[in-house]
Amino acid sequence: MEQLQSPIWLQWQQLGAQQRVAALLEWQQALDLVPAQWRQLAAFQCRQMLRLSALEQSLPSPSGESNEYYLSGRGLVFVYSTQGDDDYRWYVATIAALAAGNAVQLASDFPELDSMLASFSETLYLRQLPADGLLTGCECIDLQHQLASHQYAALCYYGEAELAQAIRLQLAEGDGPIIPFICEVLGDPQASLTHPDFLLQLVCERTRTTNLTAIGGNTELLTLGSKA
Amino acid sequence: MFNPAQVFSSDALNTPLASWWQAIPALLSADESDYLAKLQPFARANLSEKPLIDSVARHLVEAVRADKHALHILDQLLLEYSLDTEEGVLLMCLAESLLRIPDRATADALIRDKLSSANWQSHLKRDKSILVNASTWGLMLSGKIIEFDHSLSANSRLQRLLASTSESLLRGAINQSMKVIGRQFVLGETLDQAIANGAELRMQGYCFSYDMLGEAALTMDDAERYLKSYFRAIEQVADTQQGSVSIKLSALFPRYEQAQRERVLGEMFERILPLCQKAKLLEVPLTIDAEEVDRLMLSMELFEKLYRHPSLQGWGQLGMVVQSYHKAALAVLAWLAGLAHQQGDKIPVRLVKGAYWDAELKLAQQRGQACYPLFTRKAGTDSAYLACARLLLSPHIKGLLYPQFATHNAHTIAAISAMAQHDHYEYQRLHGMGEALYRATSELIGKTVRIYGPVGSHRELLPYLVRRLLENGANSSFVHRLFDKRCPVEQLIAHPCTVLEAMSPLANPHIPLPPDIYQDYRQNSQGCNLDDPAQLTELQQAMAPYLRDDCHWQGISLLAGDESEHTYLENRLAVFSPYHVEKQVGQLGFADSGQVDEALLQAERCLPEWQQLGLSKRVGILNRFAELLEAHRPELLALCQREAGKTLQDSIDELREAVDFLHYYGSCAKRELIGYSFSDHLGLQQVARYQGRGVFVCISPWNFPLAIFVGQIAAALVAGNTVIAKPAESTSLLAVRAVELWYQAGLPRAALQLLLGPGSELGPQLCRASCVAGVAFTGSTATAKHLQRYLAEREGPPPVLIAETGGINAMIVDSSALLEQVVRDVLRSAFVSAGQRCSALRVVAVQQEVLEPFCLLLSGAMQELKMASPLEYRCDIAPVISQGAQQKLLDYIDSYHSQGKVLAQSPYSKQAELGHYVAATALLVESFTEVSEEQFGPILHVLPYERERLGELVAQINDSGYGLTLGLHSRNISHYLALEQQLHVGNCYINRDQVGAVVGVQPFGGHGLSGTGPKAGGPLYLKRFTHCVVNPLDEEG
Repeated sequence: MEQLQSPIWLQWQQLGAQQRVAALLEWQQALDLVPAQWRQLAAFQCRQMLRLSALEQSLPSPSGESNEYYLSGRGLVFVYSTQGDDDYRWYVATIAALAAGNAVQLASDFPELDSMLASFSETLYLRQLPADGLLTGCECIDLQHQLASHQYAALCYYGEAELAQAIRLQLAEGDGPIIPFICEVLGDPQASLTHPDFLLQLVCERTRTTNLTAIGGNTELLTLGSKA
Repeated sequence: MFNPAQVFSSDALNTPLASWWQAIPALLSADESDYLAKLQPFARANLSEKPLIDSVARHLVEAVRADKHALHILDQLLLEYSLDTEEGVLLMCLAESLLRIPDRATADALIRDKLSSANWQSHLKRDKSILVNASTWGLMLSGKIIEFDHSLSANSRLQRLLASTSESLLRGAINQSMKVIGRQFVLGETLDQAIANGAELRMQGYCFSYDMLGEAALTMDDAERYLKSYFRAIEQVADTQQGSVSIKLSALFPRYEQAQRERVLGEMFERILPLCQKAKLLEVPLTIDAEEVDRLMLSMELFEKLYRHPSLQGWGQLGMVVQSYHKAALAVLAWLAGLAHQQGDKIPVRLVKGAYWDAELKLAQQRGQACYPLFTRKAGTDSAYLACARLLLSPHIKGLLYPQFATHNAHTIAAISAMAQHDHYEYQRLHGMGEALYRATSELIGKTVRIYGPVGSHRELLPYLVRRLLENGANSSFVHRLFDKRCPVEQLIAHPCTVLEAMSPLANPHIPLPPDIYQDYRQNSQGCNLDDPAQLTELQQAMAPYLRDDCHWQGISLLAGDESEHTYLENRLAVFSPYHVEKQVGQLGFADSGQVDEALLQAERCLPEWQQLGLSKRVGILNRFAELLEAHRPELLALCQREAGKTLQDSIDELREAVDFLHYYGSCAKRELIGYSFSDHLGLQQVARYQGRGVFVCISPWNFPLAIFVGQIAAALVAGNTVIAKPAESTSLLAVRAVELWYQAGLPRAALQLLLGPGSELGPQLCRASCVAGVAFTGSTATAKHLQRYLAEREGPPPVLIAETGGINAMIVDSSALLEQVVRDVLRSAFVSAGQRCSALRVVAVQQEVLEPFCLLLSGAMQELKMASPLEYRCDIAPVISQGAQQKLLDYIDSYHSQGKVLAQSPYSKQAELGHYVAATALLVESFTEVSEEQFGPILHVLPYERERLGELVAQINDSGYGLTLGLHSRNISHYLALEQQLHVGNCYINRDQVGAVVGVQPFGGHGLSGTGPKAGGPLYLKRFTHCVVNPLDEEG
């Protein structure tokens, strides 16, 4: 049978939150390119992902059936920043999106962007984790074209109010799905990134329901029938 | 209330049959502990019986254990791999599926999936016999042995074996062993073979009841085939002059169910009568097997009609099976005795314990019944069996009912022998079971033993085989423990009454009652078993006033201010039923833009008061509303039927879902919306609290006019928002009634206001209002995009948009799936609610190798779907919501007609002329990409796929952009888990249908074009309706 090919974000997602967060924390610990307080905020969001993953569970079900609830990344997230050099919100959003199980395409004026991307790939490579295409950079010259030519599963923008509104309108005009648009404009306090629920917009939920008695009987229930 | 003592008196024979009949549904709903306590005196051994029973039972057990020929290879295997172990279950799965897989690739993959996933090591350690070494098991049985390097661990040995042995060799060996298992239980593939195979046993004094395997016919062709085989069986058995035939009613009619009662007592009766007449003519006894409890009373009605037919009178060989595991068994026996007493013809009765126990329990849980119809302890079933046996052996029953005790339990055999006051009875055993036990019994007691011998090919064997494996293989089964010498004899022969007396309560506390299965999560909503004639009648009577044509509802927008009488009077719109366009349901008055503005103002003003009420009180209102919904069940069900065109079952499920949402969100709010403290990124302690966002607009669809309407509103309200609800125009009367009940539950009017009118008019005005903080929407993707645009045009922080939209939902079926199961699940997934569910199956992709049999089964089964008024319980195909929807679907089907690609359609009926009906239709497509748009009706696309190109199919499904529900039918666990990961959907269902998501059990919602999330009925939903406010802990005080 033809092997089912997984997109990179799915391979990353399937590692599980623990492994993803461990890799991200290891990488950013040595990342001097980004000031410490922003890395602290990114670490905070990583911890929130671990907290969120505790929601994954087997839900109470009728006998003979299992219902597994779990979280997944959404797919490819576009993180776009037109803010100044001292504002690293784009960085925290990138880490959060990766921790949540997404792949990220990053458009930022950050001068050390290439180095950052290279060190990320290297860290994952050394851990024998999927890396190709997981975190990529791009120059966003034509935003309209950028949005129209990619299937983004979520969008994070940090910049100006007018551009934020333009993005909002373009997303609404297009035929694609309604995706989360997270944005903060210059001057906004870093409200959402310090919130424990920031990641909720970067994950999606999945349920897997399995009929355990499809082959014709519920062995577990049968043994309960004889229990004292 | 029925008292077991009544049936033991000889006066019982003069009790009108109607009394026993009425007792049956009451008994099925009776409290188990109470009823068992009443039953015990009749099951218990008296002083003279006890020593005899103990002595005989002990003798039998010891004789079996001493018998060197007692243990077959299969028994050894089932001892080792009992079905409490993963390995046992995996072997059973192989037994159930391997032989039917037509292609080698899928068969090999299944073997590898099963053999590589189990922990065989635990079995290899303790058993000395290599017969049970799983890695040599199949090879041994086929005569080939492989030597192992015993220095390696067991799993390494197995992996080496798998690596070095060709898959075809392994497959061949395991196939062979599966056939051995099959032969253990089947007397012969044909009746000639079975008669020949039984010759030696007949010479020893055994007689046979031949069971032509096959049950649950899906198509009339299958039913016809089984009928012919029963006719042939009767003729062949007549030639042997010794034997009887057992028949399964479900094999003889594809719609053998309570909902089709008229057809069963008409058409089905006419099919079976000649069979019985033939059996009478040739003097071949005929026994009607028992099946699920749902069909108990239907089978009794059918039996009575046959029994009383003039052509069958004077026969006395038409028998019935009675199962002791359900609470009504004694009443059924009393009814049969009364029937025989009236007519004077004997009725043979085979008493069994019952074979569908686990399935019955699950069904009761899913339906939300008040209790189980069965005993929840094995000891309860066993003691009920003895009480029934005592009745059957009573002097006043002799000559009326001929008892046939089907058992493999030494104690039961001994107890019957001790309590019998005459010898006019027989024992029965299954072929392949109890051989040694009955050898010992014959020597000791010398009674007639009849062997129930299944006849048929492996294909028909499967359901029967699995039930036998479960009986034998459960650690707790008598048969299992009989061969387990570690089990003390005293334990084995303990009287079930003694076992029960040591238990408290008598009902099994490890099996929660259906209302309690969700434990602390939420209460299970109250259901109704429509297959119980008493419950159906009661419900229909309660609904009757609301189902009258002259019962109308009036609906206007419900605002916080004065009701706008003038609007109503001026702009009335008549509402008609989708199933009968001339039957009016009521009248509606739509809101104008002035009322919209007023509602927004009131909602905003009410906000502080509503938020300050507090979470606990808001939850209290939800709970009171839930009670009111259940209290007004008849009216609300009637409205669902008359306004939305829903069947009765759909309406019940709709109401249950609404109640479930209320309970779930209430309990979820108390867990998720209370504040909590956390350490922030700087290590400082903060407190997160959740507050409502403001005014929420809740826009709901017509296909779930109560459940989704209530669910969205409840979530918004409990989270501390005020709500403006905009229901679908087609189902506004139901929304009005629901909101009236909300107010009755104590909800302030301004907290929830209802605006009626076209979405195209009200939607933009509502979305553009600056006070609206969020919109919760369920409906089409196109409409959701419109809403997104309106909201995007606003200035300031954008409101939240929670949208649950549609899907092009697929099911993938590989060649290891059981096609009968698949077809049942496909029929439900594609055609329930006339396909008007966002979760509905739209494309079933079937592996090429099984396409043809699948299409045959599907087409045949679709012919049996009944198009009718949804007010009739027999309705399978209900109307679609409107003439516009109907035309769109018909045009789509026509485009396939012109290409000759209509695979099958369900029959139209005269009902179609009265309302908006579309027949259930299956269309053939060549690629998933052909289906570019969701067809919101009973239209299913059938797509063949090649196993090697499954990756392509997966990519096409993902590329559609939708991701709502997915069905997978396969026995290969690693295969379906891999597929589930690859396909980006919100709700995946494995080996079952993919509709009917239960709140909190299958949180519902999809991805991409199917919705924004979070899932309704899931743990993250409520938070989306809130702001999270974070403050330092020291400021919280």
